[in-house]
Amino acid sequence: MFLSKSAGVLTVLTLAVGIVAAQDSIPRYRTFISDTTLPGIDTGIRNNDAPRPPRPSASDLVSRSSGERYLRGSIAVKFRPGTASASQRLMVARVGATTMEAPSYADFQIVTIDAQADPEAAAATLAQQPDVEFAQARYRIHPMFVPNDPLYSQQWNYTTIDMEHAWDLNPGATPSIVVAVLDSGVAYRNAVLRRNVPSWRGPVGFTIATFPALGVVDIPFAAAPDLAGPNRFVAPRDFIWDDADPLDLDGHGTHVAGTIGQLTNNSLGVAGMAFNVRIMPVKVIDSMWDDILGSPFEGTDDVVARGVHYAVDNGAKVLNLSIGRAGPPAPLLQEAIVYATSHGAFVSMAAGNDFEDGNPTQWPAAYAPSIQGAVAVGAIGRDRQRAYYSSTGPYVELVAPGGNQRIGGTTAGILQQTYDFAFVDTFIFGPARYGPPRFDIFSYQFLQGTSMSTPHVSGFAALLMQQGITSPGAIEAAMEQFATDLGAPGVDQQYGYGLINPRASLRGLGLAK
Amino acid sequence: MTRATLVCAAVLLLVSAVPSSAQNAVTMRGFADAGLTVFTATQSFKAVLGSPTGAVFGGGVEVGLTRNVFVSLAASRFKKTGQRVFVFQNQVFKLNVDDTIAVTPLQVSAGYRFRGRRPRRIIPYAGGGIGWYRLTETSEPSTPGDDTKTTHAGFHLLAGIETPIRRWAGAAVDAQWSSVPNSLGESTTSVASLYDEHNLGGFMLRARIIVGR
Repeated sequence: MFLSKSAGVLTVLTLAVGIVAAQDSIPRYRTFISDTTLPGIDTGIRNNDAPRPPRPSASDLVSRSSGERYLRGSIAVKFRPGTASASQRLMVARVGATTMEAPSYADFQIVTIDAQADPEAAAATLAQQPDVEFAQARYRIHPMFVPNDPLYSQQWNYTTIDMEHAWDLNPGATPSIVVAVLDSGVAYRNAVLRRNVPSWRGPVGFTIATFPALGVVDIPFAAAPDLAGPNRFVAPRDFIWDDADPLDLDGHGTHVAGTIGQLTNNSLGVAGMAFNVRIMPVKVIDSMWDDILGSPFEGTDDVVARGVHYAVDNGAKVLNLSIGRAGPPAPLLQEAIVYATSHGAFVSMAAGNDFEDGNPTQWPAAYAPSIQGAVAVGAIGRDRQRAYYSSTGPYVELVAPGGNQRIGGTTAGILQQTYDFAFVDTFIFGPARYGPPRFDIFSYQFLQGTSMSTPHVSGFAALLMQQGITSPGAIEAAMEQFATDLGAPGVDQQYGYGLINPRASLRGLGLAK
Repeated sequence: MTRATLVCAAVLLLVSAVPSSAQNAVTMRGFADAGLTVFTATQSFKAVLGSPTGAVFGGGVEVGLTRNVFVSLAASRFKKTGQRVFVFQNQVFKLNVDDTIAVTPLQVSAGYRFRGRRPRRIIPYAGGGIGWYRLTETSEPSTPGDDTKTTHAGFHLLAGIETPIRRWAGAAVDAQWSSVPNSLGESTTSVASLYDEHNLGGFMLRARIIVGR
């Protein structure tokens, strides 16, 4: 390339301004030292692993109240339109607020309160003010993931919903459909992160242990071999690290993304529902490693709400939320989901895995019946019965395969490619075996949960959208009208309208049949 | 069928009421016709095919029992390809799955020509009869059990005018109304069920070329 001297100077200046602008718009809390690493390593299927203990919770930084975890020191509040700034400041002062911030992709404010104050009480006080639309504590969202038990090998889930015939009608949608995965991130690119890993305290089984500092380590990342492809990923965004690198430090989001759009017919690994779509990785929940490495944000209601707004504003037509929580309602999330559906995006939400833990109402899933174009998804096992963990309630609208390893063993889970957890969860067996993680080694894992059933519905929605049903409300109706009724006749609280039937929905109605 | 039987009986009564003096030797003619049909199940056909109307082609034979009374056997065919659909809040979403509808009626009619005492260029006629309506619906791709092939009974009334254009040829234009009750909408995956339209009949205008005396 040949450029004149002035043009070259202009180009350099333009680039410099661009870089400064980019840095201004997205603050960076971490730096990747390389974008080029070796391709990911595939260690094959993990169907003979010993049973794994439940994955530990991601953070010990939150208080406990009403059974749910939330952040100390801040609450989220939305004022009614037109409320003067002075009036806003006066109201938040009543709960001892010190600062108020309007985050990006949000129509609410984050109000900082005293770290010792009870955020739920502060939110309740604020919610009584006439100019406050709602106020709530910043409840933590977690993945709807039931930990893995050992063993298995096939994707029984697709035959259960007759996907082979559905793909005859619509072979995996097209790249024009963008599906946002709001989760722990996605293994979408290669990189090396250099990071100082400090000492920390965390759970090992039922005890708390001190894990030693690892010093400065280079942590490798690789794109999941069976998921990544040319132009596969669009508009990645990380709301946990507040940058544009939503790398998965857990494996949950990568597994979920695989069920939605794993590359198919590529002579490698496993299949995905809508294997031609583009994936938008939006990281809205933090994992253990995010916390260990010092991520500046955590996966709370407000962070997820911002992620929803971001995904919709950047062209996502289907949003997958294999995440949720119990506890008090989440108006922030309700409003975000209404925003999504009213802007033409379909939202699929996990119904929850807490059936055996008192079966509490799950949010944001419980908003599904009141929002056309948003569905709450329960899970069934290979026996087409509700999985033991799958939450029930009037908000469950559909079920999809999520696995039931209690009945079928390891291979009764949902098989997808994600990290080889042996190289990720190095903390799980205590300090003695603790070491730096590797996010470039992959395996095919059987996982179970409504986290796993939800992406079936998201992929299904992408197929329907490609097929010609463009309205989120119509997509939901098409899913429900053709669902295979399970359990008690008609709509019920275990299965909702029933098991998704992609082929029937994609085929729709004929004149006579 | 009760209504069809009644129509048939009425036509036979009409035939038997013809004075014997008016009767001549039995004649036979063939005909071919083309026309336009509008189905009674307007919304259903419009949703799938984009329009409740379409071209119909057919032919048959007609036997003149007397100078005025005739019976005919006619077959016709309507065929059109549209797309399977999903309907939500009155909005029709085309699903990019080709759906071909074919309706093939086989109709037996009896009628009366109003010739009058003096020869006329324009001869009105009217009649009615019963029919069997073959409905096929095929989509692509499909699996066994997806497609529809059914036959339903119905009845029809017709009226038209005929004019001779040669010694052995004539032309006619007629209108026909048919009813094929309970022939649509049984399946829950039918748009006819959604719109509560159950009749495969409709209104048809056609032009006919007749050969024979």
